[in-house]
Amino acid sequence: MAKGNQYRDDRGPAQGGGSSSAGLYQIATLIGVGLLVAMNAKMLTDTGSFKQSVNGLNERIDGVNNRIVALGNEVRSRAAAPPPSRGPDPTKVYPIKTDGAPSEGPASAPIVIAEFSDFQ
Amino acid sequence: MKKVYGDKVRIVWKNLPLSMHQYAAPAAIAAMAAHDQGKFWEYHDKLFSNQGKLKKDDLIQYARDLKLDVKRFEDALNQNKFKPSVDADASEADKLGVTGTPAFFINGKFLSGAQPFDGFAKVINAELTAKGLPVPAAANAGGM
Repeated sequence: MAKGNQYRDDRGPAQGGGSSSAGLYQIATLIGVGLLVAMNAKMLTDTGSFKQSVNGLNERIDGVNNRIVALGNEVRSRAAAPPPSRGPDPTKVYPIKTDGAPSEGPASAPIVIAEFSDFQ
Repeated sequence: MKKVYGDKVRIVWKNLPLSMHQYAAPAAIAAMAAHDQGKFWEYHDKLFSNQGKLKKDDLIQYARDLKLDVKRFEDALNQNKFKPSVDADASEADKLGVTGTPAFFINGKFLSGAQPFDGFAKVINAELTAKGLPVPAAANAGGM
């Protein structure tokens, strides 16, 4: 085949008519990179505030846990405390006046039962 | 109690009319008026079988039924003659910390009234044993 008259432009196809698409590619790349940078920046700040929220929540959970532990201790100590006594102490021996009181049974009986009661 | 322990037990009555019971205090005074005429336990039984009827006229009627000296009885009621005795018992109960009825003291040991016979038997048997006295067979068998 004949090589002679072929003129080849060493400047290559990227110049002239090809130069506007090259510019477009550049702009697109710049925009893309800009977007990526912006997205990353947002992600970083979002992550930062997420972390802050998580820390805050953790602190609150700790606070609640501490309160639960304190309440548990309080309940245990109150349950262990003896209830306020009501009525005479069943382990004591009380002297009861019996003179003049109506009674039934021998005066010499070894067991004396005093009954406090009412008629209604 | 008598069936199981017979003459080993003496029962003493102490008045504790509860303030929420409107007729309890006059009934207690009337019972002591009957005691004054030697018929406390009969009067006591009368009152317990007529718990809804404790008005003054009822109290006098019961004295009549038991053939007490009604005039003496009625005078005692009108003069509140035995109120000091009832008040003294109630005051004693208050000092002991007794607030409800019936309340029992077995040789001075408190036993709240809401108990089955076995609750009493346990304390009484322990007292008898502590005094070196035999416990009746019926008391060990778990009650009347």
